[in-house]
Amino acid sequence: MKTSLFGDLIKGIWKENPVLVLLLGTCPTLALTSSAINGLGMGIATTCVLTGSNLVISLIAAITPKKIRIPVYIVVIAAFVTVVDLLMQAYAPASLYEALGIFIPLIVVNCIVLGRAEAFASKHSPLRSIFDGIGMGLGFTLTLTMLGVIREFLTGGAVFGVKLIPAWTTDFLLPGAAPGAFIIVGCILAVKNYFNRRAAIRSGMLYVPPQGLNCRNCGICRISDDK
Amino acid sequence: MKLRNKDSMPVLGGFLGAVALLAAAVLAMVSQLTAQPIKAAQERNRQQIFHRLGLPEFDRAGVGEESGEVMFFTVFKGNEKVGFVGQGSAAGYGGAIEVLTGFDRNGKITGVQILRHRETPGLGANVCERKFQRTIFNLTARAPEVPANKMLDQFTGKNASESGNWQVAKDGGKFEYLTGATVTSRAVIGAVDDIAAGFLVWRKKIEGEGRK
Repeated sequence: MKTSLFGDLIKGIWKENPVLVLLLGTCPTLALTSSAINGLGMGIATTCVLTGSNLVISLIAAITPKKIRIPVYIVVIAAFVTVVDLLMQAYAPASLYEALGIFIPLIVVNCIVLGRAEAFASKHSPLRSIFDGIGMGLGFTLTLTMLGVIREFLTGGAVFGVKLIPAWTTDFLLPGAAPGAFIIVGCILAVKNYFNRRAAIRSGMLYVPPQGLNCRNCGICRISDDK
Repeated sequence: MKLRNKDSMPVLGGFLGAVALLAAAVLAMVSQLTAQPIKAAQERNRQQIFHRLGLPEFDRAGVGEESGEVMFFTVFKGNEKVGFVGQGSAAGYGGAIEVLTGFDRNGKITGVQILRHRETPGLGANVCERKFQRTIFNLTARAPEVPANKMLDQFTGKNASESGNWQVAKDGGKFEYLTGATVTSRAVIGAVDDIAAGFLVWRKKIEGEGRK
C-alpha cells in the first residue's frame, strides 16, 4: 500500500496536475497570480480546504444518499472555506489577507475542490483522500507560485517583491493582467504537452493527450474530421 | 412503507438538514473562538497605520465619530489631544479608495495613507501604494517605516484651512497627478480635500461642545 499512498501524493504535482492537466480552477489561477506571494498564499489556503474537505467527504460518502451528494459536499466545502477565512482574518499578516480576502470565499466554487471530492474522495479511503488532497493542493500551489514568479518577473523584473533588475523602473502591464495570464498559461501548457508527447514517442507508445485537451473528443470545430 | 425508502424526500431532506446543522454548529464554534483574535488583529492594523501618519507621538486613539461622510478619530498622549485622523473615501477607477489623513492640533496635515484600494497594478496603484522597492542590492536594508510616495506626500505640511478646492493640475488646481492614472489621482486628491474640509467643520463642532 505504501507505493499507492505515495502515488496519491505525487500524482497531483505532475501527472495529474490540477491546473496544467485537469485544467481545473482556472479562475483563481488567472486572477490571483499577479505576484508570487499571492499565488503561494492562495495555493496554501486551497490546500487546507482541499485536505479537510477530502477527509470529511470520504468519511461521509458511504452514508450520503447519491441524489443529494453534491449539495452535501458543497455544504462541507463551504464550512471549511469559512473556517479558513476566519482563521486567516485572525492570524494571517494583514497584507496577505488584504490581497486574498475577497478570493477566499471563492474557493467554495473552485472546481478542484468539488472535482476531487466527486472523483476521488467519495470513492477512496480517508487516508488516501488526505494524501490526494495534499498532493493536489501541492500541485496547485506549485503551479500558482511558478505562474506568480513568471508574471511578477515579466511585469517589473521582480520576484517575491525583490527587484532583480533595478534598472527596470516602468512596469510592463500585460503579464500582470488577466489576458497576459491566459497567454502565459497557454505557453506553459504547450511546453508541458510538447515534453509529454516527446517522451511518449521516444518510449514507442502512442501519445494520448489528456481527455480535456484532445481535439478528437470535442465537436466544436471540424478538425476532428481530418484524417 | 414509502418512508423507509432511502431515496424518499423526507430522508434526503433530513440528511441534508442534519449536515447543514452540523456545519453551522462547527462554524458557530470557530467563529466564537476567533472573534477575539480577529477584533484584536483589526485594531492592531488600525493602530499600526495610525502610527504611519506622521502624527505627534501618541499612545492611544479614541473611538471614531462620524461627521458627514468622514470618520474622525482623536489621538491622545495621556489625556491630552495631540492630533486627529480623518478617514474618508472616494470612487477610484476600480471601486472605493479609503483614505486616511492625519492632522496635528493646528490642523496641519502630517501624512496621508491609503487604507484600501483596488486600482490597476502599475497604474492607479502607484498613486495609492507606499512601497519600498527591495532590490538585490539592498536585500538586507531596513525598509523605512513610511516609504515615500510623491502623490501622497504632496499634502504633508498643508493646512486644512487651505482646503475646499484642491484639484489636480489638469483641472486647474495645483496638485500633481500621475500620467495614465488621472482618475485615481483625482479621487485621492478629492478625498483628502473632503476630509480636510470636513475636519474644519468637525473641529468647530467639538470645540463648541467642549466650551459648553
